[in-house]
Amino acid sequence: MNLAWIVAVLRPRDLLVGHSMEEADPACQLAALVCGEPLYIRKFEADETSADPGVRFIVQSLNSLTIREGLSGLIHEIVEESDGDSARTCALGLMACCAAAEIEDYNTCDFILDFLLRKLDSDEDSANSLLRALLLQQRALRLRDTGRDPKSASTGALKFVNQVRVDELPPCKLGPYADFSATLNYLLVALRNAIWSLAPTIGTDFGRVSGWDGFPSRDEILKSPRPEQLIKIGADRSEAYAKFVLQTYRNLFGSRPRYILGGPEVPDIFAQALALELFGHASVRESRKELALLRLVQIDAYEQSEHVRDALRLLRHAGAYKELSLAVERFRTAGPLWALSEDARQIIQQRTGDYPLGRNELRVLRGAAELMTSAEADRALTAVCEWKQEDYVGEAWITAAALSNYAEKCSEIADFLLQQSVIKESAASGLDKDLARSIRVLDWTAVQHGVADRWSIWLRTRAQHWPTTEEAVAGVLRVQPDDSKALQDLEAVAVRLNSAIKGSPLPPSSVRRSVEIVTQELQNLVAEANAGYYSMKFRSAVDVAAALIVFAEADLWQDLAICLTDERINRLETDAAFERLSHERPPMTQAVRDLFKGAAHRILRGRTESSEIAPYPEALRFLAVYGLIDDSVIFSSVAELAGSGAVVMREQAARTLAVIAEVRGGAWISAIATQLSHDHDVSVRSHAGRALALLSEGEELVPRIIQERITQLLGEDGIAIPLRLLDAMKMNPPSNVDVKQKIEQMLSDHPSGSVRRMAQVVLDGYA
Amino acid sequence: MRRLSQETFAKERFGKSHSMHLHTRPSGPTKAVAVFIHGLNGSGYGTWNAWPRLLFEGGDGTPSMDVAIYDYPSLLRAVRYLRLGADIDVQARQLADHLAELSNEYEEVYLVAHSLGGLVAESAVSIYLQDAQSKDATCLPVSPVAAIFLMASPMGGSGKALFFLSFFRDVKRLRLLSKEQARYADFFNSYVQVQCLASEGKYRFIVPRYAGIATLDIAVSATSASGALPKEQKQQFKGTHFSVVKPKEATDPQHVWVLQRMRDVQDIRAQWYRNEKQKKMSAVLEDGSTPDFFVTQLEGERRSSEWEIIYNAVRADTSTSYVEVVDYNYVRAGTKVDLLITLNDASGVMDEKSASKRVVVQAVDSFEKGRVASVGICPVGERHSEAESEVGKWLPSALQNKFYIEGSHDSGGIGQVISRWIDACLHSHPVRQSERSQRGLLQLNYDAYEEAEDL
Repeated sequence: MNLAWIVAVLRPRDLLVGHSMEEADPACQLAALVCGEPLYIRKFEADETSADPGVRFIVQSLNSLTIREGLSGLIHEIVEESDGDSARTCALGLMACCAAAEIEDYNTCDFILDFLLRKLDSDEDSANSLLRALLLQQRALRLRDTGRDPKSASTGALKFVNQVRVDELPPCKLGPYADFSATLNYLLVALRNAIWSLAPTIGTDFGRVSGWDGFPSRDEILKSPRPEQLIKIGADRSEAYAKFVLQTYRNLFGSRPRYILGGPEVPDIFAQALALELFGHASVRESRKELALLRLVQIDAYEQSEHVRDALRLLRHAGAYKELSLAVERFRTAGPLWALSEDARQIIQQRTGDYPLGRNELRVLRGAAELMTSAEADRALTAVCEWKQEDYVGEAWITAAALSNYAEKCSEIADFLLQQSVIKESAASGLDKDLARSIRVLDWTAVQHGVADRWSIWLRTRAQHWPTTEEAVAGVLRVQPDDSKALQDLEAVAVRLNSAIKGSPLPPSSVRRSVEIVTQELQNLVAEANAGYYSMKFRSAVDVAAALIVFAEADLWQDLAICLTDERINRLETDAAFERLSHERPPMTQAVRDLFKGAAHRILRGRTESSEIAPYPEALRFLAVYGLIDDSVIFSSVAELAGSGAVVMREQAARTLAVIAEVRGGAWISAIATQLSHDHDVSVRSHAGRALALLSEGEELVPRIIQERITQLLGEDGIAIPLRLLDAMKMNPPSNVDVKQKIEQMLSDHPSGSVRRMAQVVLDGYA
Repeated sequence: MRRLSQETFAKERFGKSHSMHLHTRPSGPTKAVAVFIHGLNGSGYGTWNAWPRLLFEGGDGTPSMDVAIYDYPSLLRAVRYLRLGADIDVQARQLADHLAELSNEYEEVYLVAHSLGGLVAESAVSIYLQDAQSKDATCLPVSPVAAIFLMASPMGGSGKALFFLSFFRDVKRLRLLSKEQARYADFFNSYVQVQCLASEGKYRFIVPRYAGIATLDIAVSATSASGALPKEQKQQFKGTHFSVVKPKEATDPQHVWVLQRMRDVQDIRAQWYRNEKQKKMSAVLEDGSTPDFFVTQLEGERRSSEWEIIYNAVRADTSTSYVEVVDYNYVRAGTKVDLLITLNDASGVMDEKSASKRVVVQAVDSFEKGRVASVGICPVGERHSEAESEVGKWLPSALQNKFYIEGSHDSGGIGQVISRWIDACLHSHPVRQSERSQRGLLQLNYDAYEEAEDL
């Protein structure tokens, strides 16, 4: 048995440093691959012509384009050569497991590990015990990755590693600076630490975990020195981060990039993550997350690389839900859509069978639902409906609702959700919100009448424990509210108003009562402001007042104007009202206009918290569309926002232009909108694009430039820009032929189902 | 392959010289074709009964499709030719050649195979895909071979496979873990995405595989017939090993199932193309200089599907791993066109028809406004030589030697002409000759500040 193979995968530098080994030595070639340093990879070049087929297959398995091929070859090699050097087959097996786990082919992991463990000699000598410990620990990690219990594999691994005596191991040739005994001792310490790392850490209990025989207490583990091997891996990681910081610094402070050959090196910590995968150490989860994040923050350097797609998989496997969620949303809105849909398809392929979905998989499926075909969405939906865990059941419902819209199973899922609400008789508030969200996500136009009727019955008989869901169901089913009961408070007014917005007009008595309640609330708000304090409420009385003016023609302008012009009132109260009024633009009296005109400067530039944007963007939009401030003030305010280095301010500038474009055009509006449509941030581009779409028809100055820019924006990746532009074109389809052709092309070619649907709506507008 | 042009489906006896009958319509080929491959001791038409006819006729919202029947002598039928069963490798090679031929005519080729026919089909598809890859290493993962339907096929071998007849080559092939068959299975495992997904994942090709299982099958176990497929891609049908492939009506479950799954396959193929276009378009949008794209635009005095097919084929042929020749419609609007291709009828040019003149005038206008980098004008028809001189006269004198003007006797020659223009343009473009890694080597923006900075 040549243990150099094991050293090659677990302590590769002990073979490589010193350059004394034969360049064609296959163990050294493997070590160079695992170590990942270009210097060694070049020296011990292992390619298609490498003498050892196992090493050749590992080369393939480390390339994302040939990983399947490499994995198949490795399996063959392991099975066919199982009577050869068991250290070699074990090393190949560990590498094969890492490749299989990368493509989530856990059946293959299980097959390889079972096979190798069966094949190992039954002798319990030190060398065999070492190999057994390594394989069992690898199994433990994969069990944990798939949500299974690693206890028996981990305890087995610990038993075997404790049997290993370094002086009984068959010596092998290493690099000139490595000592066999020291190397193996370091390796064993690191392996033992990896085995310990998989034991559960429960709360603040520092004692031994019951059932994990032979494991030290948490206290003992924490007090034991950090293995030298892990320190080395950490140092390598730090080196990669240092390179990244240096490059970032040069990009920030340098005038232009200077590349020596073929572009900059992109710092990466794949080799360090692989090292932890091979040891089966629990900290590999953190390492996967770091690898993904490092790749994502350098996304521009990777262009169309598989690394971008793999980043999502890494975040899933790291259990990094928040980071994954951000990445999914970024990919969905700004692209690359292909990366999101590819990861979703890998989930469908690998995680809808023997190995169940987790919360992270749900997140990706939900985000990618509109990128799936009906067969794909149906398959994902079936797996989601089999969700067994009590935790995150609400997320499974939302995911099912999102998928059902593309699986053509809306009725079935509406029925499924109804059953779920019956099973879970009393809802926790989180579950109530999740069910309400599922209801809103579901496409009710595709739900059969019978199912909708059952929901109506539920609304009358069982809804009392599900208040948020009750409101959502009443909204989607357009249930006529019961106006015989007098409205009691602001919450009741808001709920009733929501029905009015959906088409159930408020009777005069309810309007009167609503005005009474809201007026009182507005006065309370002013009184609070006078007293110098603010208590945030669930509903904004100011917004409810604005909605009452818009949808019930309530006489509330005077009270509302007092609140909106009082700069002491917190913006959280006034933001939504300004936004609503800017979009709906209900008529106001001259007296109110005068009030706003007089207070305009104070509203825009009045007392602001340090975190708030000045000029106040929501108020700016309101004042601009009602013509309450001069063009020069609008121009300078928008220019100030547009020129900011902060994305959030440029986004506000673009939003403001889009709202103003609903009522008027103008050369400077087109100019700033065109400039912002080239912004690096997708939200800025999409709002600016929306402004351009609204301006395109009336624009006389440079219509060709605007039309061309709109066509370009429609072709951008992600769904945010196409959806916002198409939405702006809904009511007034563009007359430009190129733009129309582009929309027709999107109808057939866009990967997102929601964009295709919206394109259809715009094209229907031509008829 | 024998072509049978028919309005209604009619069986024809297989002769010695043809192993495949292609049933097509006088109006021309449909978009898709279904290829039927029978099993051990079966026969071209006999195995399937009404099934080929049902697919050929379509109806009830189902489009009709052309049908090909593959026939090969096996087991006792082979004895008549003094052979000990069918040589599956030879049959697979032959079927692969037929698939290559069908691929030139049809966008989608579906294989419906029974029992041993499933092994023949999979082997043939393996050979077909390997051939495709060796001809063009960059060929698309979505090939015309759209899907395989395996009806009562022993994908995991058949332990019950007529043990007492195992001296027959084809029977031997059916045994568990047959080494010859394992070769093809390995290819599928490593290179073919068999799940119905719009992504090749880490594989090279996408060919969804479906399994139909007979509930009363005593020859092939349900496990063997299912293979390692997800449950959505396998379906049980009431019936025996033989009756399962003989639906009588269009409403019979196996026929309905196959049609539904074909729709799924069409969906994933369409989605794959959408993803790919989006991916390419993003790549173009990300980099304004787009050195690895060569943009062409086709303009004709009339719209001709024949011209468009030739144009698209030439684009595909002239694309390399460094330069992709893309159509103007698939890049962002406003992207400069590298080569505008203008096709005219030679007779129209000679008769000075307004349509002929209009496209040339537009090409001149685009060139002068800088929207296109090069223009090629190709008069097509017997009088193309005269038309070449005539078109030359239409051009402003400053542009006389700037445009390619090369005609073709007929549509068949257009491809060569366009191909030459693209090659010429590519070779005159230094950036496009270079490899990607050589991009951005030099920064030559000299200005006063930079010089000061260097001090």
